[in-house]
Amino acid sequence: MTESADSAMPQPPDERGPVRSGTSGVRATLVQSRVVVGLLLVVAGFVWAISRGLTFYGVSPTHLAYDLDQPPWLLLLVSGWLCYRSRRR
Amino acid sequence: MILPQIQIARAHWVLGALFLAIILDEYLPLVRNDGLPVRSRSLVVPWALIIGAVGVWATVVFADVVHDMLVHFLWGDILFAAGALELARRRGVYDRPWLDTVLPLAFLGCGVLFMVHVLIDPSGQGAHWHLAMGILLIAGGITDLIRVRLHRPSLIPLAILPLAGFALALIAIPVAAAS
Repeated sequence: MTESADSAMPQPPDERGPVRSGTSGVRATLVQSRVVVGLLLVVAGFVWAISRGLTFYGVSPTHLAYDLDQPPWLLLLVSGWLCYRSRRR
Repeated sequence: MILPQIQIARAHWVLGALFLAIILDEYLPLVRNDGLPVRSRSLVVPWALIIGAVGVWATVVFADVVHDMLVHFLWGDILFAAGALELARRRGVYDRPWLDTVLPLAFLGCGVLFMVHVLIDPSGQGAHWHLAMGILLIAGGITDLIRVRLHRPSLIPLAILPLAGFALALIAIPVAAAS
């Protein structure tokens, strides 16, 4: 599966002004949002796993699907996907 | 064929996780090599919508309640149409300005179907949760539709909040049912 070209988002006009350092700080935080959200999902997955526990079904393909199809693991998978997609390109 | 409760919960967990991945990948900005934030136009998103549609359609086969079958069938149709249109656009096969409204309208349509689900079976199990999830989807759809129609660019669209809330609800709610 290939991916199409990413489209650049229009930049706010104040990015070119003298207050650039302030707004660029905010922007730098925003563009790291994928990593931040990914880490939040990891924390949520751990909390969920600790509070509700995880069930181990086995290691056969069917049982492995059951193992992974539990909310804490799913949150970790989404987090991993998000962090993978957050890399610069 | 009637699925036991845990199987229903499993299906909802997977669809919720898939929807969460779609929303976060679509609405959180990426960083280009030159440091500029860019909007993701990944082909994974339309494919995930189509896979989600197949999953929702499966309910039509496994459900034992007629209105569940009808509503899930229409959900599957909306997701499949949205996925196909987005796939065509992102592959460059078909591109029109109105395609910007495909995802917001799909979310809005799915939210309205949640309301229809509640109206048909107001005393059914989880009616309050269905209502809450419908409101979240409608809020996300309308918010994003307004942003698209006003051509108002933003690094992180506001619609991500209700839509991510919906996805997390889809993951969290069946846990209680499966316990």
